[in-house]
Amino acid sequence: MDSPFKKNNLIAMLAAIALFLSSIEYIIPKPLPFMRLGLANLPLLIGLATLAPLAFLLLVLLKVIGQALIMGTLFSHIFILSFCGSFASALVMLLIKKIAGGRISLIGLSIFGAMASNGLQLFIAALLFFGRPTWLLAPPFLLIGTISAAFLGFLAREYLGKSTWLAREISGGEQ
Amino acid sequence: MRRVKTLDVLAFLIAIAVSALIAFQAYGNQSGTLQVSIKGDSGEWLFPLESNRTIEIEGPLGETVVVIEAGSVRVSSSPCREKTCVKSGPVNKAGRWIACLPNRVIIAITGRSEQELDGLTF
Repeated sequence: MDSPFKKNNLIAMLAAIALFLSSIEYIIPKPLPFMRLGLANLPLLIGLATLAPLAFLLLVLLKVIGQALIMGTLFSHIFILSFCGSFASALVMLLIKKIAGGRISLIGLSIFGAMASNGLQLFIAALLFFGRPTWLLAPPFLLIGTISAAFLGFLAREYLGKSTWLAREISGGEQ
Repeated sequence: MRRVKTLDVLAFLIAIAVSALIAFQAYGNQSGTLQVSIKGDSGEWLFPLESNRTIEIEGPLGETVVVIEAGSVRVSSSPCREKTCVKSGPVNKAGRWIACLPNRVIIAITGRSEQELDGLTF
């Protein structure tokens, strides 16, 4: 069977990890509202490297909904921002991965993804919610996003290279 | 041994460059002069706040006289009954406004500086 959802277990597992990391992130105090690590994106990066595009998008959807449930923002404007941001990021990362292939690692993909997500979120926030002053917040938001994205990309890459669980899961997994 | 690849570095540089560009845009011309925007029935006008002039705006009730002087703007006389616009005195900060609803005149100070946020949440 060559269904894109073949690695069902892996999608569910990564989504669960995203949910768990969302709650971890939620308890870490933030000095400023936009200073977040984006820990929940870690399993997404691993999904990007291991799953088929459609399965990856499903994982992104699960993460967005799961995160909104944890944060209690499912029916607020934050959900719109999160949803648009996550999918912009996912699509950009898929596209660049396809074009660049082996010339880019998860670090670069993660940075491009963060740029897409943060850029679009700022744009929507400026357009719909907060207007012009949004852009005053943009530079530190983007800068911190870039640094944490690079860090997460690095973590994900290292994890991919070392995890035996993941290797077993990808190779089809005898359970 | 896997190392950081060229495109990774490129991604990082692009990200920094974009942030810097937006920073330049957002913080660069912040000291731009404040403007007085006057909206009336017959249109909208913009005047620099740092100027001295008297403007008569024609409304449904008559003439509202707006005075810009010493970096502030006020309504000096109005044909309306309550004269709330006259009593509200001069304003001089971005985002502040005076309105004369009966005569349909709205005066606001616009400009980039001193935009205050009440609150932000992410």
